Amino acid sequence: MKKIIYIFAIILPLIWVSCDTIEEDQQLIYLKGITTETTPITAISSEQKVLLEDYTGWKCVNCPRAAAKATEMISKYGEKLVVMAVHATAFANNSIDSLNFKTEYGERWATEFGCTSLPTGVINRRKIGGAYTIGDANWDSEIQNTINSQKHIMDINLGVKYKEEYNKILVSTENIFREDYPSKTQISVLVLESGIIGVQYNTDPNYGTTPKINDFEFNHILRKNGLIDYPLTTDKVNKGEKIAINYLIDVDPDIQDISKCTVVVFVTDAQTKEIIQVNEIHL
Amino acid sequence: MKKFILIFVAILFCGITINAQTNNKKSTLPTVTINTLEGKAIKASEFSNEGKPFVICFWATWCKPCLMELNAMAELYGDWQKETGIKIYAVSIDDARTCPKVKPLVSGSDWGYEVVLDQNSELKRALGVNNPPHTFIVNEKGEIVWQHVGYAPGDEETLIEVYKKVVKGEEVK
Amino acid sequence: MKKLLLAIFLIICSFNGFSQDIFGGKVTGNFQMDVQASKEDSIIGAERVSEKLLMNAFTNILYTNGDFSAGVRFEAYLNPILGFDPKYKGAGLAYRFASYKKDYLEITAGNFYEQFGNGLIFRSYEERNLGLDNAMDGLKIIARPIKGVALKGVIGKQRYYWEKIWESDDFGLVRGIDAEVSINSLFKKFEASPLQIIAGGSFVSVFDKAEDRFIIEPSTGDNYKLTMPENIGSAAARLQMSYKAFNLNAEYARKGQDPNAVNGYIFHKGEAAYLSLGYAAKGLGINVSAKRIDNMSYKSRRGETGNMLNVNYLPALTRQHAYSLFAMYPYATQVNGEMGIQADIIYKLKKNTFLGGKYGTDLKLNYSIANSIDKEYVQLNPAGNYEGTEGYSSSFFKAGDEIYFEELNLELGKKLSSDFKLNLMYSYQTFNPIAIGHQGEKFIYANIFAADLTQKLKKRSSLRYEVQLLLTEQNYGEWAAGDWIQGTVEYNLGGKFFVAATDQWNYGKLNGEKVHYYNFALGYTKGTTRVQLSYGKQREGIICIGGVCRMVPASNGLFATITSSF
Repeated sequence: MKKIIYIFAIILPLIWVSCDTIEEDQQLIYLKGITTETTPITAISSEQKVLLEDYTGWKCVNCPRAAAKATEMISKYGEKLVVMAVHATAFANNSIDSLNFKTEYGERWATEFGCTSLPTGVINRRKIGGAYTIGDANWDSEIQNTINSQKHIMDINLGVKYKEEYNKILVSTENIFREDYPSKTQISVLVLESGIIGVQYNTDPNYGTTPKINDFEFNHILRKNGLIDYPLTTDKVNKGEKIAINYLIDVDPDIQDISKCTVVVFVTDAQTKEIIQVNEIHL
Repeated sequence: MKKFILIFVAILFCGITINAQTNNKKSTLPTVTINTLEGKAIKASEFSNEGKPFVICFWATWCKPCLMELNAMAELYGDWQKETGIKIYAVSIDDARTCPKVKPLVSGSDWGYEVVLDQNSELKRALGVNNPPHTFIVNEKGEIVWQHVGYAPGDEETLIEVYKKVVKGEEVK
Repeated sequence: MKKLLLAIFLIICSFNGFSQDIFGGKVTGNFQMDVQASKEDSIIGAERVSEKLLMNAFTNILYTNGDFSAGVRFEAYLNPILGFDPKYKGAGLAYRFASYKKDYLEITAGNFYEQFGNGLIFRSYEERNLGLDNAMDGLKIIARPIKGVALKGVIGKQRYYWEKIWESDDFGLVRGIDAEVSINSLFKKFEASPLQIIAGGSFVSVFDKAEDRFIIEPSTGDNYKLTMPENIGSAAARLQMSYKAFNLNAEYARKGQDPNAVNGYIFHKGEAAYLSLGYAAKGLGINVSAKRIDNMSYKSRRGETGNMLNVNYLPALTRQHAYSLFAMYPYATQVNGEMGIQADIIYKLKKNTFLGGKYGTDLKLNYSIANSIDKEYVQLNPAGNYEGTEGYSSSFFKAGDEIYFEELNLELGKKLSSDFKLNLMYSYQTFNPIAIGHQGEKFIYANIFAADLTQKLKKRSSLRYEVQLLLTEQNYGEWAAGDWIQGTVEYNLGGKFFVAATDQWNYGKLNGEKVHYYNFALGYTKGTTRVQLSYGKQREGIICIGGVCRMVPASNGLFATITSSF
C-alpha cells in the first residue's frame, strides 16, 4: 500500500511539470525568408551537379579570361554545371560606373576559402590538395574530376515565381535524399543576375580591349539578400526522405532586370561545408 | 456485409441465450464506488437492508417516467416499509449538468429513499442498464433476482408483489 | 479480424450455453439496436437514404469473477442512423477492458471512463444519444490507502470513431491524477460532525505533438510560426461542504496555454469556476449555481473542433427538458467564454392542506441565464487577427454584453384523485441563435406551455394525454418557424404494451409549408427487454446533452429500437 503512495508521489510532480509555457515573445516566431506559399516545381534534377564559384572583381585584370573560361565550361558541361560569379575582395570595390556587385556573404566566403588573389575558383567547396581555390586553368579537369568522384546523394527540385505584390522571389524546393545521410545539412538560396554591361579592367587582348573593357557583359553575378546556410536536416536523413521548403527572398534593389535572374540553390554539409548538390532555375 | 449480418445474428443469439440463462444465474452487485448525496464514497456491493432484500432504481432528474415511478412509489413507500421492511436505493445517473438538481428534488419531493449518485454512470454500466428507469430487486444474499425496465402506471404494484415473494424466498422470474 | 470477433462471440455464447458460470464467474451485459428506414420528404427536408435501412447497435458483455472483471463492447453502425457522424460507419470492438478491484486498490487496463470532481478538467464518458464516446484507452489506478482518501491516476488516449489512435501522433496522450479527502472519514473525532467536508484536487496534462502552423502578413508575405506548447496542463481544486440543511459545491480550474482550433489559436490561459449552493429541508429544496467559463475547450487534439476528443466536460447550466417543444431551442455551453446562473426551487405543498389538497402538490421553479464574458482584446498579430497572440484579457466578475440564453420554468405536479395525475408546465425562453453557431440572427422569445394528464384505468392500464403549445413572434424560417402545437395520447396496458400517437404541428409558420409531424409508436416490455416501433415524421432539430449538441436531421419513416439487459 505504501508503494501506491510512492507511485503517486512520483507521478504528481511529473504532471505538474508537464505544462509548457511559451513566453510572449516566443509565441509567434518570424520566419525570415521561409514561407508556406508554394509555386509549382519545374526544374527537376536527377544527376549530380557541380557549382563553380568564380571569384572575381571589376579591377581584376585577368578576370575576363576566367569569365570566358566559365562560359566555355557551361557550354561543355551544360546542365551539369552551375556557375556563380562572386564579386569580392578589394578588386570589387568602388566600381567606377557605380555598379554594386559586392555582397556581405561573398566577402565572407572569399576570406573563408582563401580567395585573395583573383581570378580563382571554388568547385563544390571541396578542398583540393589542402586548399579550396582552383585556378581557372584547372577548372575543366577539376569539374570533370568532381563529376566523376562525387557521390550522388540527393536531388534538389525547384520552382520559382516573382511575387510582384511584395517584390519578393518565391522559391519552392524539394530536397529528395537518394541515400542515407548521417549528418546535419544546410541549404542556401541565392539570386544571380546576368547580362549587365559595365566597365571591367583587362590586360589580355584576347578577351577584349585593354586596359579596360567599357562594355563588358557581367554574367551570373551573385546578388544580395540571399538566404545562407538555412538548416535543412538536423539529424540523420534516411534514403527516400523528401523535404519540401519554400523560401521568400527580398529582391536586391541593385537588380536591373528581374527576368535575367536565376535562382541557385545548394545544399552543404554543415560540418565540412562541402556542397552535396546544387541546382538552378531561371526566373 | 454478409459477415456483419452474420456477426449480428451471432450477437443477437448470444444476447438471447445469455438472457435466458442469466435470469436464474443471480449476479451480485459489483464493487463499484459511487457517492452519497453528501459526496462520501459508497460501494454498490455494500448496499444492504439489515439482512432483507432491497430495491435499486436507476433514475435521473430529466427522466419523466423515472420521476413518475419514484413519485408513485413514494406515496406507498411508508405503507410498504411498515408491511415488508423494504428499502429503496434510488441511483441517480445525473451528470455534472443536472447533478445539482438532485438534492433539492430529493428533499423537495420528500421521497424517503436512499439516494446515491452515479455521476459518471459507473454503476449503470456495470449493471448493464441501457436507459432509466431500470429497477432491480436484490435478495438478502446480495444477488440480483429480478429486474425491470421502463415505467408504466401500475408497475409499482408489480414491484411490491415481486418483492414480497423475494422476502418469502420464493423463486421469481 | 471479423472472423476473430465472430469466434470470440461464439466462444462466449457456447460457454454460456453449456455452463451458467464461466470459470466460476458471471456474465452480464446489455444490448441495443436501432433500425431506421427513412424516405425522402422534401417538405420537411428528409433526404433520401440510399441504403434504405440504417442501423446502430451495440452490445456490452461483462464478465465478473470476484475481484476480477473484464468486458467488451461490440458496436456496429451499418450504416449509422441519421444524425450520427458517418465516421462511425463500420463495426468492431470499440471497448474492451480488464479490471481488478480490491477495497484499497482498483486497476483497469484497456478502455475506461472516469471523472475528476465535476469534470471541469477531466471526464471520460459516453453519451450514446449524441454518438459521443471519449473512452480512454490506457490505464487507470484508483487507490484508497486509508479511509476517506481516494487517489486516482489515469493515462491513455481517447477514442476517435474507429481510428487507430495508437498508430498516429495525431492523437494526444492524456495523463491525470486526482486526490480526494473526506475530512470526516479521515479524522475519527469529526466523523459525526454535522459539518461534512470533502476536498479534492486534480492535475491533467495532455501531450499533443506540435504541429506547424503559420500566419502570413498579407502585404510583405512574411511568415510567422506559432510555437505550440506540446504539454497542455490544467489543474483544479474543489470543495464540497454540507452543514445540516445547507450544502456547497465549489470547483475552480485553470488551464495552461492551449492554442487550438476552437479558441482560434490564442495563448490566453483557460479558467473555469463553478459554485453551487443548496438548501434542502423536507418538502423544500433550493439550489443556486453559478459558473464562469473562459477559454476552456480542452481536447486531446488541437485541431479538433467537433464533439470528439474532449478531455473535460462543461455542461450547460440550464434545465434539461423532457417535453419536446420546450427543447426546441437547446442551449450548449459556450466553451470560449460564458457566465451563467441557475436557480431551482422545489416545494411540496403538504397533503391535506388548503393548497396542497388531498394528495399534496409539487411545485418547481427554475430560472437560468447564460451570458457572454467580458473580453478585452489585446493586440493583433501581423496578419491582422488574434491567432498566436494572447488574444484577450478578461476580468473575472465582469459580464459581457451579450445574452446567450435565458429561461424561466414553472412546473406544477398534482394528483387530482386516486386515478388522475396532472402536470402543468410553463416556460419563457430567450434564445440567441449564436449559441448554436448562427451568427447575426435575431433573438427568439417563446412562451411554451404543457399539460400532461395521466389516468389510471383498471387492470394496471393507463392513459396519458399531453398537450404542448409554443408561442413565438419570431417567424422567419429555420430557427423560428412560428407557433407550434403538439398533442399526444398514450395507452399503457398492464405495464407491458403501449401505443401512442403524437402530432406536432407548426400551425403558425408563415414562410413555407405547415407540416403535421405525426408519429405512431408501439412498444412492448418484458422484464429487461424492450421493443419499440415508431412510424412517422421527425422534425429537424438539435439534441444537446451536457456541453455538446448533435443535429438530428429530419426523417420520415420507420424507427425501431430493441434494448435488453442480461
